Amino acid sequence: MTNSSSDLAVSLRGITKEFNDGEVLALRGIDLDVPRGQKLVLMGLSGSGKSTTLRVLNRLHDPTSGEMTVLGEDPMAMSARQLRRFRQRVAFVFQHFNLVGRLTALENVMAGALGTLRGPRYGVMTYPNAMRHEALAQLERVGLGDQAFQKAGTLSGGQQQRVGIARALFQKPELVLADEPVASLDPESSRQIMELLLKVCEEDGLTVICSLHQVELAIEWADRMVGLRHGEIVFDRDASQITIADASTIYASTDPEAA
Amino acid sequence: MSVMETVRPRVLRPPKDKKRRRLQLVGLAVIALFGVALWQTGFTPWNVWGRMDSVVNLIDRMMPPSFVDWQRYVVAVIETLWMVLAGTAIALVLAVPVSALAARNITTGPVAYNICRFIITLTRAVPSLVFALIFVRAIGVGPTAGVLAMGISSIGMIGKFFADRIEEIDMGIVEASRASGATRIQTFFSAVLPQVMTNWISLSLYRIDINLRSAVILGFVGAGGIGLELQRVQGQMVYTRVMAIAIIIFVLVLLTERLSAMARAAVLGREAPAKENPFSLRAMYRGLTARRAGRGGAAPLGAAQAGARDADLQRARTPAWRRPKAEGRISVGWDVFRLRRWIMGVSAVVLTVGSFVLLGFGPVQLIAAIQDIVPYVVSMFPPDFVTNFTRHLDLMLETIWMALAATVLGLIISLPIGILGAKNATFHPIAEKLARFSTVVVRGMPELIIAVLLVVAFGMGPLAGVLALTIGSIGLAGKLIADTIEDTDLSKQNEAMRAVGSSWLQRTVTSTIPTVMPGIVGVGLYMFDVFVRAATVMGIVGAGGIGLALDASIRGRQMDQTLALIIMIFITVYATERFSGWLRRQIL
Repeated sequence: MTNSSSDLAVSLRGITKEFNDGEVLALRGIDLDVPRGQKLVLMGLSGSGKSTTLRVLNRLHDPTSGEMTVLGEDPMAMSARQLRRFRQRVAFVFQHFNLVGRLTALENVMAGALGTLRGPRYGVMTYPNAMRHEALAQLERVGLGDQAFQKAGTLSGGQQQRVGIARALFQKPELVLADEPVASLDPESSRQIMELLLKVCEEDGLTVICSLHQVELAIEWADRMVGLRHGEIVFDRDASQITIADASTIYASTDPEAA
Repeated sequence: MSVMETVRPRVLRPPKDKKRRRLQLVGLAVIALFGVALWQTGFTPWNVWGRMDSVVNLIDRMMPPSFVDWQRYVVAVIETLWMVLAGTAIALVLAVPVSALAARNITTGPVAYNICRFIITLTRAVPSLVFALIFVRAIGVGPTAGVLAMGISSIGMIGKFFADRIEEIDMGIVEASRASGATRIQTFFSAVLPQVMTNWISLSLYRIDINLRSAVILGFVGAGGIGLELQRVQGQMVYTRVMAIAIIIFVLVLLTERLSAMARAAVLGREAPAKENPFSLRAMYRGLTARRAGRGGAAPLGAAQAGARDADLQRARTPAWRRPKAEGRISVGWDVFRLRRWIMGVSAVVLTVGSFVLLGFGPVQLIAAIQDIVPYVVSMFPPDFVTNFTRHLDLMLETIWMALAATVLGLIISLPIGILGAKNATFHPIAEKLARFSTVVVRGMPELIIAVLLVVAFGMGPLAGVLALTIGSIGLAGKLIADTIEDTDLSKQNEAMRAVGSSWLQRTVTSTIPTVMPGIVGVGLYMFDVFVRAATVMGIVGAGGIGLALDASIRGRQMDQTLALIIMIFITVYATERFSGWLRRQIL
């Protein structure tokens, strides 16, 4: 990983994160370089620091110490306004979809653009018409064009995550962070959603950092796998060099109870 | 997808389905009616702005507050407190049989049930101030009239909640009691009362809190206490003293609220989950709005369950020397809890008896009062709807316009305060504290007292009433909206909103408000309900609405018209309650 910094989407140096005034040490010094266009999977048990790492990258959490460069910028040095613009370039896909259930799917997708809009928006018609069409196109891309005016809360889990992905794509991001995007879905939907996420990110040439529990899924589409345990990186390998069996042992090795 | 491309319209808009159109219609109707209401009540920007200098003038004349007559005020405050205790005690004594007969599961029959439900509905719908006006006329100025008015008008709310609670009890115990051959009365005391006691005590303490506010207001029409002092200095137009009494009332109301909350916490203590007190304003509101929706709403902790847990606790804690012995006198024995209960019970009885003694309110006075009231009430029959009918109708409409204007204005003001006051939606912790503080401060001022002051500044008429209710709404709706938002999980969707780079305002409008919208509509309907009641009596202090006619008819001794007006108020309040319930079901 000795690329020049401009080729790196993410560069972390000694990132630590404490919660509750140091009571909980979520991250204990993370060093990580992610080249642009890479599809990286974070693995590890719950509480190993996967979600925290992802949330530090767009400053949903502020790191306690360490340095980071994301998309060539230092998020820590940003003003509130700069941070809003920066977050437009970094999309986030959540485990629990995090949609506004009482808004339509279309509005949820368009909410992805709030960082570029001035002032509040209430209702479909308060967004520019061009934006509405663009949002519908993204919904069609994830196969939900006919559900655009359904309330998001009435959709199935798989459908809601499709809306979540459409919202992410609508931001026209350069980096996609996905926090266990299929952990609340059944196996069949999981596969479909992961394939969809992979397909659209490849089409748009995006960098993806995704935390994932399913080893098979990870091997299938990741370029690189990074394992976390107790807030530290315990392995970091090219996905092409590992088989499912290898990955399982690696995964198991991060799990002392299961071993 | 190509099929969709071809049929896609140039301007993309939501499909027009029936529900959406109906909501839009309701929204438009509310806006139109709100406009009419503002017009009808004279609440126009130029009207309000034009009289701003008289408000400034009044504030100027009220400063600095003058406490020279403080001895009088101390005596009056103490009298007010005795009035509250005595009034609540009378209400409790009357509410127990009424609620027992109004509970579907233990009533004696449909006749008793319907009569008692009617008593509850009637006393709930007619404002206590109306009772006070009549009693003051019948038996003269003084606390006796206030105590009786409070006693009778509290039956409604206490009776309703008592009865609802009885309907939730475990009937198995009642059946067991009946099966063992107990009489109805015995069954009530051995099987029903133990199951509801804790809740009843807690509710009674809550009612003391409400009755204090009402005692202050009742005093203003001559029913004694600090309210009477307020009326006196206001009549003399000594505004520095008005200010002093307003401050005293403010502190008194807030202190009582605190005390009653602490006492309730102590009573519920071990039995209620610490998080939510079943008799908090929020639970009350839920209980009121969840009407007939089954066992939902406040859903206080099952008493039987709590009892069982208590028994276990007790057994585990009971030392050997306290357990019943085979010989000698068998008694429960003493422990900290029993001692505490005993002390609280005895002090409640002593205070209550003391309040009657100190008010000079004994059986003789009660009989004398009834002897005065009965012929007076009889003289009101038959009601005269005909005389002044159009004027009364106009004033009744004005009342409804006042309530509507104040509800919408109140929502407009309370929504931002509610959002800022909710921990999970606020801009900043300091903003949350400030917003919460403002709701507490406003709750310290009964709306009618605010109206009294505003009438001085804005002159007689509905404008003062609407303003007073609007200010009062901050205390009611601001708190309810904040509580509603805090009960909603916004963390996930707002995290996503932050992740896309939205501002706080964008998050609030796009995520928070749509999510809590049903709750806000519910609060609005509830406010309308409350404000119609409140607006009916605003006229008594000159702040517009039907109260003006009511006051005039009583002063003019046209008692048949008074009765007609009371019936009109009852019908309006009752109809409003039914209507807002219906609207709630339509929208939500």
